[in-house]
Amino acid sequence: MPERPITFTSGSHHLVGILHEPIAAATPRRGVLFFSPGVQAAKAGPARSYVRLARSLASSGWCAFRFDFPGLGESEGELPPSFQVDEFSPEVTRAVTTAAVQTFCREAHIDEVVFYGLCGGARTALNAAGVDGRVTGLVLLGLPLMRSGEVGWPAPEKLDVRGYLRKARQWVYWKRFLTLQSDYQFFRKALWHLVRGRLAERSRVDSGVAHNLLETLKRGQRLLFLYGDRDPFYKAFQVGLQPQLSRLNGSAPVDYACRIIPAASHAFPQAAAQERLIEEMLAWLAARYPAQSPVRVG
Amino acid sequence: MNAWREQPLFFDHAGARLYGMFYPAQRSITPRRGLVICPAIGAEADLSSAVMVQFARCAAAAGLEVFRFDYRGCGESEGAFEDATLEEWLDDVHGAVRYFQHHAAVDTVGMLGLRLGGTVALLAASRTPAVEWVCLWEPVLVPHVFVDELLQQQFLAHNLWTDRPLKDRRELLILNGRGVELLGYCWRKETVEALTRLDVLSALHSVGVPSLIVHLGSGRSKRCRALREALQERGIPSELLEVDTEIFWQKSSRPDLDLLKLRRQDALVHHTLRWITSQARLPSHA
Repeated sequence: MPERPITFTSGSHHLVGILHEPIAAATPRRGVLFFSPGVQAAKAGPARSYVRLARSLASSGWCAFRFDFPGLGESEGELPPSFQVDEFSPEVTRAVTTAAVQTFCREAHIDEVVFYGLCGGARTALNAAGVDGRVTGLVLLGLPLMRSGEVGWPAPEKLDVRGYLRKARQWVYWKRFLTLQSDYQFFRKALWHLVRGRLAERSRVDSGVAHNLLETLKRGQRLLFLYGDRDPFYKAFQVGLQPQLSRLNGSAPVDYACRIIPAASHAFPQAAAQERLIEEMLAWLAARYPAQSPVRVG
Repeated sequence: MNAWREQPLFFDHAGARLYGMFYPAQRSITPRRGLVICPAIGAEADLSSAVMVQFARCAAAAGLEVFRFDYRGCGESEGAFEDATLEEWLDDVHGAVRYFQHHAAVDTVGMLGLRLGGTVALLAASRTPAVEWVCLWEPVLVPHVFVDELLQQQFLAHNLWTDRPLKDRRELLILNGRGVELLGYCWRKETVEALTRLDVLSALHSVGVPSLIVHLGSGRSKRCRALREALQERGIPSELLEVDTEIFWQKSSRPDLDLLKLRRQDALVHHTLRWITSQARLPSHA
């Protein structure tokens, strides 16, 4: 499968990307530009999920380009000390994305681009959605709708609820609890996560995120939201964002869809979740971007 | 703009296209000395990649020709992770060394490996005459314990995210399919079994090469000390270095951990380069 590394510049930084080109390209030629998830993963994505998806896209006639922002992965540069988790300044986002889109379109001979990002990459993709008129769609995985600290992340301490209910019926475990032999730190953490989860359900969606989403739809760009059903941000999406999107839908036609991957967490680390994610994305692309006919390249 | 000479590339080895990144030395030194970096494998590779890139750049600045690469089925290389075997990864190291020697025209080659990459580097170095020294960052010296730790982490994650909790982590080994899913990576069952059976010291072929064994984290490491003693008993010069640092190849549950600081390991890089400088007889590393 044709893959080649490409280096390009943005400002004073050299950035590294991998271009995937299909063996049999569809007509018209289109591409998916990947935004890396952030400080904990480079352009390959967590557990190589970006690599697998890019190769699946290439098998389906799409071009794909994965690259690292300055200071991430193999690209030049350092992250500033003030770097907020997985979020670049508007100036950097705009400049880097413009360079990436120009490079991608030139190298792959395409005129239409769909942005793709997971978590922090989804935020960056959304923030950059308006930089180039060739961007006609966004696929946002696990889009964070508020700051991570405001979300009630499930914790290992919540694991064995059934086990603890079973123990609650046995005197020996009460004896341990009352005679200072239990792990009280564990209970404290579990209760905290429970409370925080409840509070998170009432948290507001970040106004900047909501604004960018609405502007994206008003520009006529297509949106696909993908969430794992265990992702706390999905709950926030249902409660905080979906009503806003529904109101917008009433005033002018907008194109967005939300697909839920069962038994999947925020970063889709489970192998089955990744397979399902690829299926959903390819199906959405096929529906929204029908190919006229596949054409053999070269 | 500064001249940026880092070069991403693909090279062919044993039927696979492997990915590599070449970092030319920033000082011209004769003879030309090279370093091949063997990354961690699986989920540990994702989280540690920033440190490996940092080290590659610092080593190039110190005068080494440096080559980072991805094993088949890993990172940017071709292939599926679930198809790869331990023997293939060992062979990929040979392939990377051969390609690097030819591409960079280096006169000597050393290796550095992190975690299971350290184990692979140690085994490969003992079979590759071209390799003259090796650095091991927290190498996996008891692979069956490494597998067990991964199983435990996966067991916790599995029970957290599904409605069908397991009672014991070993049930993961007998779930459907030819692979064992460990933190997002599907390990081939034969590879897991091979790791479980692997006795690192017995697997070392012939005489080894001078080694720097680096224990990372707090406290002392009996296993790293045992490896040093075993190598010394075989007449192989080896040193042990203990660097107190946060574990940067695994996810931490500590909410106060600064992820940005975790991506830079200045003390580790400095001490390792100091050893390499003396080993490779480079002009002093500042």
